[in-house]
Amino acid sequence: MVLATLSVLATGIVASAPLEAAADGGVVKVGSEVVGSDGKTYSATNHLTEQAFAPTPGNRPRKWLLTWAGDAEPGTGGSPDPDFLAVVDATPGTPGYGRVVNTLTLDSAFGNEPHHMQYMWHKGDRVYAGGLLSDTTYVFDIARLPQVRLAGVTLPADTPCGSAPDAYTVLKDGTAYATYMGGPDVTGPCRYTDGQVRNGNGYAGSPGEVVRLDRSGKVLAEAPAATSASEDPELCVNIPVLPEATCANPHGIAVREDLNRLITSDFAEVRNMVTPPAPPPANVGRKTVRIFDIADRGRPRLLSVSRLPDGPRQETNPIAEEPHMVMETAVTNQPHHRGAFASTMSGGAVFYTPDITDPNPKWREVFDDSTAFKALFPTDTPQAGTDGGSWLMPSPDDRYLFHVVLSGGLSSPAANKEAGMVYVLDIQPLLAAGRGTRCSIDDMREVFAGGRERDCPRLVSALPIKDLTSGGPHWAAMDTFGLDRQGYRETQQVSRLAVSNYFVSSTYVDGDHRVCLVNVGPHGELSLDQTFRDENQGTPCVGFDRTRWPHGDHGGARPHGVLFAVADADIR
Amino acid sequence: MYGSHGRRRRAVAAVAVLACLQILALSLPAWADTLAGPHGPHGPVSPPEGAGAVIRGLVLVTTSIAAGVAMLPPVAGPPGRHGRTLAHAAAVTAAAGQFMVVVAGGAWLVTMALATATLALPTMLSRPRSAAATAVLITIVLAAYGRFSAAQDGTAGVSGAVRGGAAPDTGFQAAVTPGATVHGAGLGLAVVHGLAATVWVGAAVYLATAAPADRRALARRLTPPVLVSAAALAVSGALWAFLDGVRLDRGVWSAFGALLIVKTVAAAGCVVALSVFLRGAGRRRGAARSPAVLLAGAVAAGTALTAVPRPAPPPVPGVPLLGDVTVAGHRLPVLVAPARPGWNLVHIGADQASAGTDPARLTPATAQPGTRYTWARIWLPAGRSPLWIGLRGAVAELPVDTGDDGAGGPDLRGPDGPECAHVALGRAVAGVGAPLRSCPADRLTAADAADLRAMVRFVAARGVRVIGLAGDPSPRGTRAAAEVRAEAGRQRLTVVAPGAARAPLIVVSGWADADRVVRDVGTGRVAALGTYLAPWLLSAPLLGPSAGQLVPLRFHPGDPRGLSYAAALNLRFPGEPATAAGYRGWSGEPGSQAPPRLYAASTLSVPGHAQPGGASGGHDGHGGGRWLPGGTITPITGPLAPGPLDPVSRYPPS
Repeated sequence: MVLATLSVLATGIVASAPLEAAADGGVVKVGSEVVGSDGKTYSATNHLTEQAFAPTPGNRPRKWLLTWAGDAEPGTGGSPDPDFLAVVDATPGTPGYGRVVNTLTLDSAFGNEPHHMQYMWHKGDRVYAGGLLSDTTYVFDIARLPQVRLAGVTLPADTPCGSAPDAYTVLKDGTAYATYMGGPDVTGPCRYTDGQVRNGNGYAGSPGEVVRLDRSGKVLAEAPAATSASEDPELCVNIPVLPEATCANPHGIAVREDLNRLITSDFAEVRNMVTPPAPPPANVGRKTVRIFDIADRGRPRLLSVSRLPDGPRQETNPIAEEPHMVMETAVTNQPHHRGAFASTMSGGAVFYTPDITDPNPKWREVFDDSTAFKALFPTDTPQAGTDGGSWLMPSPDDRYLFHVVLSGGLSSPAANKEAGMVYVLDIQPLLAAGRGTRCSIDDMREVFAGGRERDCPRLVSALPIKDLTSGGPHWAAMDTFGLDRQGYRETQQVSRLAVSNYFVSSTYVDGDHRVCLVNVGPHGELSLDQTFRDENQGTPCVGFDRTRWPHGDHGGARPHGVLFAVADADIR
Repeated sequence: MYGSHGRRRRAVAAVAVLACLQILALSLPAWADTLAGPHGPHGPVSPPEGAGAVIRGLVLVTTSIAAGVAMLPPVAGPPGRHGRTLAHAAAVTAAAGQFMVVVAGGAWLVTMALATATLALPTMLSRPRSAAATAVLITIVLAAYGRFSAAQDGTAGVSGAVRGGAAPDTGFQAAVTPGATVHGAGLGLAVVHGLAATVWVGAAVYLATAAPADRRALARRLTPPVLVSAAALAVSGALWAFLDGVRLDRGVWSAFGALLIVKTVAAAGCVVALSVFLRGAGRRRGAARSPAVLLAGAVAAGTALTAVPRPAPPPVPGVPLLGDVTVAGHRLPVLVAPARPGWNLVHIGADQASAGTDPARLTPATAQPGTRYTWARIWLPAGRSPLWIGLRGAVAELPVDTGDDGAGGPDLRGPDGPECAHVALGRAVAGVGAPLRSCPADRLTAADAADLRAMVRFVAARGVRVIGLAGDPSPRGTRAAAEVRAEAGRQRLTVVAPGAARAPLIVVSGWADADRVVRDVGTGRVAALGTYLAPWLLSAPLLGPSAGQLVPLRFHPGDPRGLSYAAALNLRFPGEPATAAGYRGWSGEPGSQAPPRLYAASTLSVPGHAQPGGASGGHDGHGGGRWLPGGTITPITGPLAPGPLDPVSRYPPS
């Protein structure tokens, strides 16, 4: 027996055949492909494990967590490993809870830097997933989860007036709007599909745009996010300088179809650093929000560019002031509400405007991340400035607003610098105030204790998520799917959040590459789901720094976008 | 008793011993290297890894004892009581060491199988053939797996678990690349060397533990396998050492050399002691222990060899040299090109370094526009000579050989020298030892000319009527400017100087001038509607400044082949940017037949957050192995259409 074992080993050590056999063992591969506008074929392959087909107790239908992940390290000899969409079993109480049951690998394009998918998935929707660095959008058909089909690809040449795709929101007709944060592929004038022309300073520069995609990723419209006239050149730094200054670098996106409004938030001219030794000016981080009229869905028309106000904090680093780098924006959901929120990555604050149909919307700071930090860390309180305020979403019933924060700001006390967190605010009084809202964070007491006004959001719960790397928790998704005897249905309540710990490694803000589930109690209280565990480590949260995947031994991956979804047959 | 016949035998024995000494001097680095130690990483030199080296030595020596004792029963009969006891103890210790390897993250399947088989060995001694066969297999697996692990990225196997991620390095280890596949000859040498050494260890244990009365008879039975294994040990070791670049005339005064001498002397003493014992002195009590002690010393020294860097392979006369030096506690990559008599460029992987042929008068190496790290122009004599590298007051020697044929090489002192040196660097990384005879800036290739014309047509198709042009006086730059002007004329475009109009700016200069141009555009000193770089300007330092860079390429830097080059370069010269010139040198391709596409390049960043190594990155290893650390190079067009001067449906090779 010993001899037989050694014989096998002696044969196997050179070709590493046992590893390959293990990778293939019990994994079912299913491929799909589409032809891009460049005539090339783009393919993707499912790698379904046995767990993907395993029965559940009582044949309970399963809920899935889609995680859009990029390869973290090259393979042998520097060869690239594929990026992939991971399908994780997110059905509580099942043996496979927390297991990665499928990885859909992108076989034809590497180094995409998988970024965001849409914020919410509804029955029948396709999934739109962006490659930040490859300037590519992938469309996935998830009707037959856990199996996924590549249904479309939007290539860089398909969106000549924009680059660096960021976020997506899906309309009722299944098409999607996307923000392309960066400028046109080529410096100079670019003509959009509605005939308008804007000057840009090139790839990953300015101005960005809004793109409408059909269910196969075909571009239906490219709409300018920039005004035709110059914006304030001091506020809107462009490198190289543009004839018409613009802050149009849309990142977050949200839509109210009933109000015919689309709203985007300007983040930064992402290609701004550089040209040493000159430091980047603070105003490459944007302070503005854009609202579009989408009565004609195919021709989004820019209605307003509104600026977030400064807050009471006096920061030594100007980039840490409250309104800097408006990463996210989110709209209220109920028909009688018309407000929207915005949050700043560098400013560490949350802003609100009560009516997005207002041609001149006024924003007010309604919450400072410092309040949540103070509640979690009464001493050695982390700083909100440059804290990486990220994902922001109100619950469908408009009771709560959830916000993910990456870490303590750069000037935070060392003891709690890695203090990422997710917190929840009660926003009912704020929304109830309508246009008469009075809430405003005006002084340092309100920065740390919350607004004095009665309609100010109240901190309901905060959960620290410690990440010892340069990054931390950044993106999240809400689980609103309830189960009854007919299967899943969408509800107005949020039962869980999925939170991913990763930003963008090439910006030197990374993360520990874990995806955690956070339970949301009936009154908004947050707690880490201790039962959602890594199948290898046995610890809470699913780690993406692992050696083995269903598609092979490709090492660590970086999870960014997350999304709860259910197979079509299991939801009504 | 001996007489003249005895004197002749003694003389023959003496000659044989001396010959053994010479051969062993070449052969002995090898066996211990089967479980390779840290030879690879650049940057600060780490002290020998204590725990890892101990485990490595433990596994190696004890497995050899257990396997060696088990190999010999078919020839020498069963070992004595003390031999069995020692074999049991060695097997248990080896298994424990292998278990520690698994705990440390080694590949559990192979290692635990080895541990199980090793533990079983002493119990199999009553079945000599089974025991011997198992011992042979264990040794083969250990030797081969050690070599295989050494070729991997440091995450697998016995070696990987104990060496902390050291990467394959020069010499023999280079022979197992590319692609971390194990060279067949290397595996064969490892297996032969391991088997021979194990026989020696087993024989020494047999003799040391045998009853005095049995030793002479035992020695006679052991003589054939010991002699055969000695020959195998010497030949395989010599070949291995040769592949590792070890030569008798160099490396002796290093730590590696000192350990090599210790190992050689110990092993040679073992040969002598065995000879003496076989001639009758073995009747004296304890005499047989001497070979065992000396052999143990040799194995210990050999194991220690894995913890110190081996000397660099000898330079090839007249061929650009990519070597390493350890200076001021840092291991630095150094490129010398063209490595011909006269002026040479010395590229050092450090800032504030210096170089020269006189350690007392070194020339400061300086940064050059469009490049990373530092460069020095050094005059080298014909033939072999020492080149001294300085850093923070310390110096280290790097032998160079410019050849004795008196032929010169291209002059790299000008602004295009670094680009030319990158061709040599690419070849060196690929392991191609070819002399550097010309430079990219000497002429404009047909492919590059076609790409420039295609780029001009692309610009014209966007409706602009004016383009800027930035060139240089090199033969390539002059010819390229003429091509651009001619195509612009055909497209009815007006060509102006950089900044004379806010127009697309086409850059056909070398790296140095291009560096200035992109910085000027980024800071607004030169107005431009985008910066259109010639294909040879694909290099991270030229893509980092925010200037709207576009470049026509016939390959995708993000495809597997492009990434393999960048990774290989980063392994040999960490932080050095991947470049078009380097890629051509590495790939050996004269030019791609694929049509060019236009690529946009940009870094990404978050304001307010530190960027180690700057936007161009790489110094800290973050993003190393990529073409544009912290950024992206993305195709933004389909194939650019060929023009009337290009062959129909295909582009000419360069």
